[in-house]
Amino acid sequence: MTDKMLKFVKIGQQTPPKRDVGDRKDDFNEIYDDFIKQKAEEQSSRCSQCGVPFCQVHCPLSNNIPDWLKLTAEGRLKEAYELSQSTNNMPEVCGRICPQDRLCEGNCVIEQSGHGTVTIGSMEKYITDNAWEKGWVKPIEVKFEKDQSVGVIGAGPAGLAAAEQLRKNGYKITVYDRYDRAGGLLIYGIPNFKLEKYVVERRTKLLKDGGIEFVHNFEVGKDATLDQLRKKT
Amino acid sequence: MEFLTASNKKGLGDKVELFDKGILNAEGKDIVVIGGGDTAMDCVRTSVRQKAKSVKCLYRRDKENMPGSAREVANAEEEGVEFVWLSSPKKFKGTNKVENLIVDQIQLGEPDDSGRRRPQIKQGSEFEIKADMVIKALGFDPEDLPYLFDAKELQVTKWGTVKTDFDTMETNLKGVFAAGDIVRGASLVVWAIKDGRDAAVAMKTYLENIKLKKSKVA
Repeated sequence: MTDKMLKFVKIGQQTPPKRDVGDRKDDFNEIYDDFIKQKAEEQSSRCSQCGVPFCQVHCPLSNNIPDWLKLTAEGRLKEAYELSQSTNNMPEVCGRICPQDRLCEGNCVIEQSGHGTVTIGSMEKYITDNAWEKGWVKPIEVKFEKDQSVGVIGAGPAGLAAAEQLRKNGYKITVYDRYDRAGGLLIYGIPNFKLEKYVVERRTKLLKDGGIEFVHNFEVGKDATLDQLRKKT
Repeated sequence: MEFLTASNKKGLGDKVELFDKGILNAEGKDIVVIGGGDTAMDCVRTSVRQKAKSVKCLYRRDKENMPGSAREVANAEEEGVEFVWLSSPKKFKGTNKVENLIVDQIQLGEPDDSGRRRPQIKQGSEFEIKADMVIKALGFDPEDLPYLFDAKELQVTKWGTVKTDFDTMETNLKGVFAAGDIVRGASLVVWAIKDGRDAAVAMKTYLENIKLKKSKVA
């Protein structure tokens, strides 16, 4: 079983190549290139499969990191994606912008023992980006829509996550946002060189395709009071 | 913040008047960013890409005591950002617009409650930095929701964040739940996702209970 894993003793740490400084100063695109499949498998095989995985303990979402690393090392990328997205509504976003050095990677046991952390963030990004490419990321299909409805104010990460989770349960969801695009700080706060905007836009499109209604340029307090929204059915 | 929004809107192909007029555009300017968090790193690195003449980052503590991600600081340094550690702005100088920034040097004292060492001004240590544009990246305050939403009865904490029940994430208004920065204060995306998911679970329970009550009455 351990054949595929625990390779940190032989394989050194590698992140996907960073773009050359001169080159990246000229545009607003992300600065890290993507892993290729073989590199991803190789790097995830460095995971030591700890019995008490401190990476998972220190992840706010308790992402099942050792398991999806193992699946990736074994080339079972679809299962890795399914597992990763089961605890996280936008893994490819977290893979890009989480401060991993303070969360999962900072607490990685092989990091603590001086071998250099498993590059968890880049793996997370790779797994879900690959899933998008392969068409594994599908909009929510509601079989029986419930007659109860939920209004969500604000299309930031918290609002979008809540909307998606409730939609999966069949509720009718309307998301109100005061800006002309959904995403909150993801779209208008975080610069492109950390998070390119197509990443956010394809997420919101996915939610729309899943039957979530978005009302843009809608300011609660101006266009309707909180009280009026609460009285809606 | 307006600076980053303007830059992102430009990136998305929108027209942004303040950017086109040059007010929110760093091109050709000497830029000074005040603050040492992740937002400050976003501002300096955006300025570099807008072709600023020079980009300096002023932070009142040193590198070891920065709140933001070390990786982002390293990326900024690589891209040519100059960090002026242990410095704190005192006043702006210039006619009509800012031209220079008067800065005090700082020494670090005893650690405070957060474990980081408390900055103290070194007397008589001030110096000048040339600046065409100064960007403040000094943290976010929660918006005044009771006022904005026209809902005076919505309870907030002394920090201005929305008060919620720790277990259910429900506010003092029945059926109104809250999650994310407006409850937690400025934080990470991953925490926002976590809160959103938790709120969804609590809301589902709430909605199911309403159903149950109705069916019992009927």
